[in-house]
Amino acid sequence: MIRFLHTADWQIGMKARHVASVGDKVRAARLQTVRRLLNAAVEEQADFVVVAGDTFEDNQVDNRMVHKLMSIMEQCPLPIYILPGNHDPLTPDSIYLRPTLAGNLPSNVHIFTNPDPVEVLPGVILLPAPNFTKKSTSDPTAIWPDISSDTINIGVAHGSLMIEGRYQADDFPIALDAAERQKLDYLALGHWHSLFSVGQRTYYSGTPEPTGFDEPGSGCALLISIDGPGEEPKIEALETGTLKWVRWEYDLGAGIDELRRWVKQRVEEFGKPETVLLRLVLAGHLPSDGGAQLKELSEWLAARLLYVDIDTSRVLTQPITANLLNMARSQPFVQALLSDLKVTAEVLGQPLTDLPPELTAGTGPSEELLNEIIKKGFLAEDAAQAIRVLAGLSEEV
Amino acid sequence: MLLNSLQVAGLRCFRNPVALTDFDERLNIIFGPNETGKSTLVWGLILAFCNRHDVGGEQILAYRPWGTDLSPTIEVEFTAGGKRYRLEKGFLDQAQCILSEKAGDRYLRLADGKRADERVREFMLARFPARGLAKGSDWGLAHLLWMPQDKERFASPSLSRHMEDHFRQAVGATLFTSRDNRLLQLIDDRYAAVFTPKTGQISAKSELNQVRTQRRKLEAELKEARDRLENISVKSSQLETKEKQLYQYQQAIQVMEKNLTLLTAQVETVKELKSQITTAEAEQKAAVETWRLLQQDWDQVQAWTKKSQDADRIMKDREKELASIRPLVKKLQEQVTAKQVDIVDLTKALKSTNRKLTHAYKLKQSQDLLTEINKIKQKYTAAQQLEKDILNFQTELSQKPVPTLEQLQNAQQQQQQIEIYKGQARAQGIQVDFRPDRDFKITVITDEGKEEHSVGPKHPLTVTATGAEIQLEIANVGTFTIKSGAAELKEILDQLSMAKDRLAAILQTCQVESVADLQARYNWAQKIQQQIDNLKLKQANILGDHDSIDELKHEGIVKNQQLKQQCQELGINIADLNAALVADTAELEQQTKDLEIKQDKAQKELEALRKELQDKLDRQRTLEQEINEHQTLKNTAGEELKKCLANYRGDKQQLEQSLKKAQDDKEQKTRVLTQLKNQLPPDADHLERTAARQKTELVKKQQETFSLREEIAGLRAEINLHSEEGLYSKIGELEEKHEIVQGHYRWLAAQAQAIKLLYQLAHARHEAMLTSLTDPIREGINDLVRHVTDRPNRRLELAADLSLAGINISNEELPQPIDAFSIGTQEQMLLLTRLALAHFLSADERQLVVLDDSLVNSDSWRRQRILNLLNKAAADRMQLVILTCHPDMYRELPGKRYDLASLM
Ligand SMILES: [Mn+2]
Repeated sequence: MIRFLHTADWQIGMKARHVASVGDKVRAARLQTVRRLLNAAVEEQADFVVVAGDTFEDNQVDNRMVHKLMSIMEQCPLPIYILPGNHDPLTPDSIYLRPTLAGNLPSNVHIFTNPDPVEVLPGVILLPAPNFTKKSTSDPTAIWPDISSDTINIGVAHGSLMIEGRYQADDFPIALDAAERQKLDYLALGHWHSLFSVGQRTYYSGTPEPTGFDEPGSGCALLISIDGPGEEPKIEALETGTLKWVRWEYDLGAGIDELRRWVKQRVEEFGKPETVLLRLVLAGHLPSDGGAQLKELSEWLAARLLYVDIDTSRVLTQPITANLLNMARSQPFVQALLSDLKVTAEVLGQPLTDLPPELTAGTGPSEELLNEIIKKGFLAEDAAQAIRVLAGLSEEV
Repeated sequence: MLLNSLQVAGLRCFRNPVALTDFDERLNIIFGPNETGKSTLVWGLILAFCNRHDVGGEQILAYRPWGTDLSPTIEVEFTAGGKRYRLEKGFLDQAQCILSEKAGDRYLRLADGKRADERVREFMLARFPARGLAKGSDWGLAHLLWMPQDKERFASPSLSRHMEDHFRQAVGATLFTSRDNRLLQLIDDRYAAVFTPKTGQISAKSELNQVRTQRRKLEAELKEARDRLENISVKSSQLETKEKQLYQYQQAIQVMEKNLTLLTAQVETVKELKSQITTAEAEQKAAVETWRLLQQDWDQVQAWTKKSQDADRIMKDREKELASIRPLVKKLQEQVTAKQVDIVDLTKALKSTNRKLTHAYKLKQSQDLLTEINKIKQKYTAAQQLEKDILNFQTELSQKPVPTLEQLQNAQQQQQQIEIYKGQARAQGIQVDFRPDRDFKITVITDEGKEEHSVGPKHPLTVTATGAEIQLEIANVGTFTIKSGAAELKEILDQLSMAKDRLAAILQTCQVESVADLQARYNWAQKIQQQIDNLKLKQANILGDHDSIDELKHEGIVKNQQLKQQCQELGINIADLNAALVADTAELEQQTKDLEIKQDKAQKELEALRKELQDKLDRQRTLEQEINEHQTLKNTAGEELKKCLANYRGDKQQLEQSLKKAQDDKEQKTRVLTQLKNQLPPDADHLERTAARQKTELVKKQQETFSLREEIAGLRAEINLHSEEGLYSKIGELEEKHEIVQGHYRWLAAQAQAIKLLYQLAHARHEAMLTSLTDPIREGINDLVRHVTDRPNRRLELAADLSLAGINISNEELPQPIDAFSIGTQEQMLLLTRLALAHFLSADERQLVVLDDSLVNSDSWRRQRILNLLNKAAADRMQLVILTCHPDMYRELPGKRYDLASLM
């Protein structure tokens, strides 16, 4: 019986513009995850580790990262087999041909620089299908030679399974029956970041560390056990993720207080909230004074989580606050000013609804001023925002 | 606020304290000459009410009396809100401020120091500047109501925002509250945090600008890093290209090496083959030479044999021909001799015939000549007869004078002229033509006398007279008088006479009576001459070619002599000549011609015979010669053949066999050589060169491969260097930073736009409200203006803050600026503005209005109007303090007066 760890898409050196403020932490977490999954492999008494492509984010990833990764791998007592993927293909400037890496490769680390079968253990053959370009329309597994069925044969490839609607023609399409055709005991795939399988022998391990909010089923590695040639492999998923990427959607229909309660309760369920990156997507109607409350909630979350992004792009916000309304009722100037803003918003193409009509009975700005406003390129959103500013100022008067 | 008393000391011209007490609550006039310090009093009030006691700086120093260390102190008693206060204020060394309120008959201190300053400031609605003395616009009510001298004199009072509330209270308006004001201030502050209010541009110190700058900086850095990374990508693609090239080179080198090996083997084979060919070529050459010599001998033997045979054959042919020619020659010789004899006979016959023919010709000639001579004699006789006739006519003609044609014509012309003159005379003079039908007697009486005429049918009367009249007297009938008036008749008659003379002369010459005779003579002469001419023509015809009769005669003589000679030659008398018989020449001629033809024919036949004979003789000679020549040739050929066969024991067959053998040998050697040559490849000559060239190319390619490897190594090193640098991480970090900054920037920019919009709308709205607030004040001012100027169309234009924008004359669209008007008018307008403002501000309590010599420049009419207004205003609701150096001007105003000079 053999046992090995199947992982892929480490994407060391990943850029994190989408969570720019914690980019460094996100990158550091990926190394941390590698360290963790190698330890897990040792603990689980794996014979070797297979990385099915995209070990590095890019062939340009700089040496600092390379050194860090190699020192981590060097400390692992297991042989590690690395397949170049589409992010780090075997182009002439490949990171794997770089002297920093090629010249200092730890003795337990092997790079598949060609598709020749490798006998990793007696009777255990790895068939690698390294990527030589960033894109390709040919099936990388199609180049393998016929092989004896007396050995345990494990394919390693990087690309997209040809499932209609889920792949692109130039993205290394892989035949769904590649494992069967090649009489493989197991086909270890990389490229898709979520755990995914077709049949009993073809698996994407997914990335051990998610790269964004929309990768459900990522954050693990696969421990594969095969009793002998032709035997069905046993698959066990190991949790490896360091950071938790969470995306929540919430409709404000129940009110902002309810949201606050809902969020706080769920945050308390996090074991390590400091490792959580949260995107909270809100929808529905936000009351006029909800902005401040939302801000307060955001600050509360930011103090606990690694990263918070509250997406209000789908929220309808009423810019007027109760205080501003009171002010307008007692102060003709404020009332007239609100009326001016309403007319301006209308003229700019986005009427402000939900304003009590008696508050906006004014005539609005002069024709001349409106023309000037249009000429200066103001947007309707500016008018709404101006009301928000005014609401803010009304608190200070 | 109204003023109760004022005491100043240490203030400019007031070194010592001066006190003005018990001000009238309506009207006070402080007068004094120039330089007595009237204006200083106003400045004292402004110092007291509108400035901090501890104000520093240059400006306050200027209030010390000139050249002293004295410090200004001002003590004021005033009433505000129904309460009476005392303000004791000192500056510089005596800096202090004490505000007291009157309680009963004594003052209780309300506040001092800064707090007291503040309380006073509030009374005046003034503002304290951060440092230095307050400007006019900071003075609050004082700015609106007090009209000092100096630089502030023509400054238009304007409503600064901090006073609007007060104003609102004054006019009873509640539109714009102090809360609004604070809100507006907050908006302004927000706006100023982002924009420079003056320019509306984003201010440098604003966060927006800082973030924007930061973003730009990041973008620049990012671009630089990306460019560098792009450079690496370029290097990478170069690397890729080079590696591909290297691979191609290596493939090419392998192919080239293989080719070169094959080529070298080929070169060796060719070398071997070439050496074999050289040997075979030498052998073939020797065999050919042997064969050639034998063939040469053979050819000679064959040639000589043929020559000998040919000569023999020709000789035989010639001898045969010779034998046939010889009898022909003899026969021809005999024919020639016979023909020659024939020709001699023919020549003799021809000579005899010729002689006969000559004689006949000459005889005939002589007979013709004789006939000719006889003809000439006849012509001669006829010509002589004609000559005689001509002579007769000529003699007849010479017997009468004959007119020439000219004379005849002249005479005819004169005759005509005479008739013309006669006609003229008849016309001019008196003419009587009278032919009666019976005879009777008539007497004609003219100047010249009486003429008696007998007239009748055969005797017509023709009378022509030159006189004036003519009378015809007919017996038994009476006398007829015929009158005429001709004057030129005489001259006409003279001309007529002269013409008659000329005609007479011509007629005389020809000895004739009349022109008709003359004509007859002329005609006669002409007829004779005609006959002469006819005769002459006949004579000429007879003479023919001869010019004269003598010439004809001469010819007859010559021809006669010729005939004599010919007859002598013929031996015959002339007389016998015509009788002599003439032989038939035609027959003789025919005979001669026949003989000549025969002779010619014989001659030609002889010639032909002679030629044939000569030909045969020539041919005979040639044949004999040829026979000799060929005999010699045959002998020579025999000799030569013997010589040729000497090497072969004289045996021709042996020679033939040797030749055949040599021929076979030669052909076999040639075949071998051809085979060898065929084995040689077509490009054999180039093979070696190709091999050498390919080797050079291989070496070159190998060198190129080396340099390519070096380039690749260089590129790798370069790419590695960049990886070492950490550019990729840097870009990642920069992109993340940029994302954050960009988000922040967008938020700030949106916020800035919102604030800008709010600012503009709020101010526009505020101004609109202010305008509605200040409208009643405008009206009040313009009421005053109309009252003073008495010009209903003239109107002051005020800005929203009530500052004077200009004066509108009779509804013109644009107001004229205030300084376009005279100083007097400016002063008046400003004064009226103040009065109007004071009117509103005094709604609750009296307000102090200070006028510092405001009417100096006004005409008396307007001044009077203004004085009326002032009087009314003071009576109604304000306290006026007027400072002047012309107290007389205000003579008629009531109120309290202070002589400043006497107070000092
Ligand atoms: Mn991939």
